[in-house]
Amino acid sequence: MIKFDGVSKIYPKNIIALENVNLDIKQGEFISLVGRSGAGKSTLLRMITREESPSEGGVYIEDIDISRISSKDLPYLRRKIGVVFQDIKLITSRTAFENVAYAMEVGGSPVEEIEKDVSLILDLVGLAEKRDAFPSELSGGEKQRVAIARALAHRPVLFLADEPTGNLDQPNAMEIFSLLKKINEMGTTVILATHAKTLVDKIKKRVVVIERGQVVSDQEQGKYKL
Amino acid sequence: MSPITFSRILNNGFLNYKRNFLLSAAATAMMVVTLFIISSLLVLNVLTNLSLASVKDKVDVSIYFNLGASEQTIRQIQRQVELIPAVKSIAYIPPVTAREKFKELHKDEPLLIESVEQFNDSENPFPASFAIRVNELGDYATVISLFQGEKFEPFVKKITDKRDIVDRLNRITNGIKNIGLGLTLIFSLITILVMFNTIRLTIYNRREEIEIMRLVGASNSYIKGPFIVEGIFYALAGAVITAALLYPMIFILTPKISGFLQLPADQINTWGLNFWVLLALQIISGVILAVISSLIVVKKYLKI
Ligand SMILES: Nc1ncnc2c1ncn2[C@@H]1O[C@H](COP(=O)(O)OP(=O)(O)OP(=O)(O)O)[C@@H](O)[C@H]1O
Ligand SMILES: [Mg+2]
Repeated sequence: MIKFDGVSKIYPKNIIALENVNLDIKQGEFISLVGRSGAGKSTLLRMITREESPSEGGVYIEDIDISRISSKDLPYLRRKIGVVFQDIKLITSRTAFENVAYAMEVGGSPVEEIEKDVSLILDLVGLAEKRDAFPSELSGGEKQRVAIARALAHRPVLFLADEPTGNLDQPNAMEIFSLLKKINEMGTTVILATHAKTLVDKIKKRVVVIERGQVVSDQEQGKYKL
Repeated sequence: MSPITFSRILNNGFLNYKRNFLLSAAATAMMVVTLFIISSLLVLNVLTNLSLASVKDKVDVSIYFNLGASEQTIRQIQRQVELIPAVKSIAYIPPVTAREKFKELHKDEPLLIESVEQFNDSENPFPASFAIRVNELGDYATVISLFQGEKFEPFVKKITDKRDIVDRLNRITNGIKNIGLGLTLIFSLITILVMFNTIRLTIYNRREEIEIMRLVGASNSYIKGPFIVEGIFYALAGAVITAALLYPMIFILTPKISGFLQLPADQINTWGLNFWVLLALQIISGVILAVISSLIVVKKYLKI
């Protein structure tokens, strides 16, 4: 489904974030992307949504080189991908409900559908009671869950979660993990960048380890190791 | 674009306008000033055209004949002049009529009247004359040179020509128009800049939201549209306010101006100073300004 073919990313000032990355990701997989801070995990995820473009090599989705997608069609690619950003990126002036609804409005969904789906999704992430709370009135874990809900709003085929358990305690992180597993079980491909060792080890799925921009290990039912 | 997306763009544009009320008010006020100048220019243009037309209509060239020229000769000249295509009308004013006109004009000055009445018809000191009107102002030169030519010159005593009045009026109105155009340009520029800054600030204030929109897959038009709409709101609000200010003024001033310029008041309305025409003009010019400035801002500051 997704293929990284010799991808390198060099940021200005010659910062090498990724170096010759080759990855094959199949439909329905659950992949944990692990590595030290600054290893290049977020950069790798940003390549998939074309927030960043490779300096070398190519990223293919369903055999389409995404660097060839016109800026007019780029929104359609992004609507197929749900992203939980490392810095969450909720709109502070909107409630939990509105933040999720926002992603659907952008895609042109009618009001009734939004009303119905958003309620359903908020229910799924366990935030039904907090629907009218603003981000400032939510805990860290709750904000993460709003972000997950928003990423789900488009019914994406691919789900990218960049450190969705950062700053959360074990039980909370656990909940988020099982939520991601649930999403994966519903058929969505999930790529998760994380530092949560115990949880990665526990779910026994494919683990890709990145070190200084390079893939150093890629194992089915892998373990978190640095 | 689906209707629901379109209505969301409109709605977001309106939110932009509403959220930053003070700034929006400033941009709208600037719009009002500019539209006011543009519409005043139009009103002025209509009025000067009308008054010029009416003055042109009244202008003629008078050819006074020597006392010795017989009526027969003069009539013959008249027939020849009538054949010239440039000539719109030629009126023969015999000495008797000229004297009556003079008496009419000076009816409150008995001394003058008395002195004129001393002469009997055959000694009438008033010369016969033509009052000639032409189709175009430029044609006066033709007529005048004709009467200065050797054929008619011996019979002609004097030629009076009121073209300079028209010239002066032309010059004055052109001057006013040029000043108006200059002001329009300057204020249009200021308005574009003020709107530019206002919209730029809206973009800055909403940068968080814009980034998220991009990332969740909003189309270009969905992201950019609201800022164009915001600009158009300045134009619409500006146009309505300008019309509300300007129209009562026209209403009050029209009778005075038309009295001053000796124009029939009803003619002014038929000339396009009607409320809807003005409003439409203001909306069109406002929207043009708004779209120009918001397109520039969006192009410059909204990278998709
Ligand atoms: N926009 C950017 N411009 C320049 N350098 C960048 C940019 N984004 C990331 N980098 C650099 O690229 C490298 C990889 O960063 P990246 O964010 O991908 O790391 P990460 O693995 O996600 O780290 P973390 O676990 O802390 O989130 C780092 O050295 C970082 O400083
Ligand atoms: Mg990161």
